[in-house]
Amino acid sequence: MNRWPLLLVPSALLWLAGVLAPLGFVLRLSLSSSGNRAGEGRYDTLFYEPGTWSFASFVEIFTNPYYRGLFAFTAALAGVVTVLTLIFGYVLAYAIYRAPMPRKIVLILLIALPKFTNILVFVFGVKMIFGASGPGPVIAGEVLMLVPYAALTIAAALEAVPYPLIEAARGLGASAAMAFWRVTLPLSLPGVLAAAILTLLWSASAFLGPYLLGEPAQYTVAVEVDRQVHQDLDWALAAALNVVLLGVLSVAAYGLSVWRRRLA
Amino acid sequence: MLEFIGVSKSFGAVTAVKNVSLRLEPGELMAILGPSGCGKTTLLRIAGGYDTPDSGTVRIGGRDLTRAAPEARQVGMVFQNYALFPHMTAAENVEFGLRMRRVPKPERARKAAEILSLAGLEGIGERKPAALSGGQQQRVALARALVIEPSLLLLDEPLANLDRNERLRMRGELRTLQRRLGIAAILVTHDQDDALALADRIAVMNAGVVEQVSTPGELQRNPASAFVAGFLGLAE
Ligand SMILES: Nc1ncnc2c1ncn2[C@@H]1O[C@H](COP(=O)(O)OP(=O)(O)OP(=O)(O)O)[C@@H](O)[C@H]1O
Ligand SMILES: [Mg+2]
Repeated sequence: MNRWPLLLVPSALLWLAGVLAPLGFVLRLSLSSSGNRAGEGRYDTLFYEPGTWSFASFVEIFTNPYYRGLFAFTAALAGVVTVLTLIFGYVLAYAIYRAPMPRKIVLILLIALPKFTNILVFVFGVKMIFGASGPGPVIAGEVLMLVPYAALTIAAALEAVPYPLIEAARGLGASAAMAFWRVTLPLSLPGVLAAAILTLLWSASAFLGPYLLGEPAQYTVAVEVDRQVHQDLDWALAAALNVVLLGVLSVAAYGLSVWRRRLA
Repeated sequence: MLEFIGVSKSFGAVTAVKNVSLRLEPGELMAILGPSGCGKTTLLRIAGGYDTPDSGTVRIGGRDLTRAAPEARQVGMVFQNYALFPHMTAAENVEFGLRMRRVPKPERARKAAEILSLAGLEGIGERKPAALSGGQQQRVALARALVIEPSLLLLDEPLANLDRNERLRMRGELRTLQRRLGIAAILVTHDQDDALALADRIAVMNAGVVEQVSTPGELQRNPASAFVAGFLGLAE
């Protein structure tokens, strides 16, 4: 009798405690009435009204142009970051794929290197190079953070493309560029889509990059959630923002993974 | 048709092919026979332009193509594990070479259908390689190599991955097809039965060196060395 499911117990417990329970709490919270934010001496209803049911926060998100703008900006940022990350990531992955053996390892190590940098040092560096304001440093920062993950994901997919396929294409009259376009690229597409899912989820829920590198005009949904929690103290609205973001991202990620499965 | 003149190729310390000279006549099917690692694939890859020899000359149809890229030679190759494009249907695999030559779509489809039926593959054109049997994959690989009307056909262990029945059937079909198209071919194998049954002449290789080139009958009557006799399983 194979007892492999037992091995899932630790991570399942962690997942229940760390993901599912907070998620349930957030979901419930998003359906509560906002609290009496000014205080009025009652601290039990300061952030939200426990025990109430209300769609008010969702109505607010879907009707107030401010929030529509916020989601539009977040989506645009995530889109630009994802496309740039995939382009840079693919080029880097291709270099890893074609590098001979000892150099391949060196490249992979070099790619992991920025991950050892302290985030504040990293942010300082990005601001020095890409400027201190505007969407430029936000995009650059996100792309720099994500390229290593995309590159390694795509490189794994490229490594799985058997070299004789490329030779076969050449033998049938394809130039190197044509063999890449017709054989290597389509066969690495599942890896590109996996990287796209990763990048999209990450950049759409980005908090630190926009928070540290941007200014109010570049704030994302995640930054707004933090602002609602800590400044405006409207937890019901913050939770509802979270739920909407989660819903949009789930649909996007599901669409991409269906596409990916159709390719594979 | 194809001529190797003093061809050598080393990989680091390993000499895979050592001073090989061979001449393939038009329409001839030559088998290259030898044990694993003796340099058969390397020799074939040099003919196809996938490897460049360290020294020596390769002539195809009288032209010196020693250093020409694979796409610059009109040579069809069937790889050891077929190397079919997994993301394309059988028909798309076959059409690939024509597409690279910018053959218009209707003609492409007509030629592909023609060669597929010649290879006994009617009705499977829309399937992907993963949905084909080993024998069918083999035929698709053959059809893909033949559709570009190559002047030379290179086959690397084409029968190695087939079960016994398929193997015997493919042997016959391969020979018939090659004769019918009148195309010169080199067939690499480590199986003496395949070589004896198929080839006009056999080149026996050992450790990078061609030990003997003869017709199957001559080879069995007069093995040139103890290695050749031993490899063919002949009592001396
Ligand atoms: N790209 C390469 N790099 C290093 N060594 C190689 C390379 N290709 C071939 N060799 C070596 O050259 C020798 C001949 O190899 P080759 O593949 O031509 O043998 P083969 O006769 O086709 O063997 P098999 O029957 O196993 O396919 C072997 O010792 C092999 O290890
Ligand atoms: Mg071989």
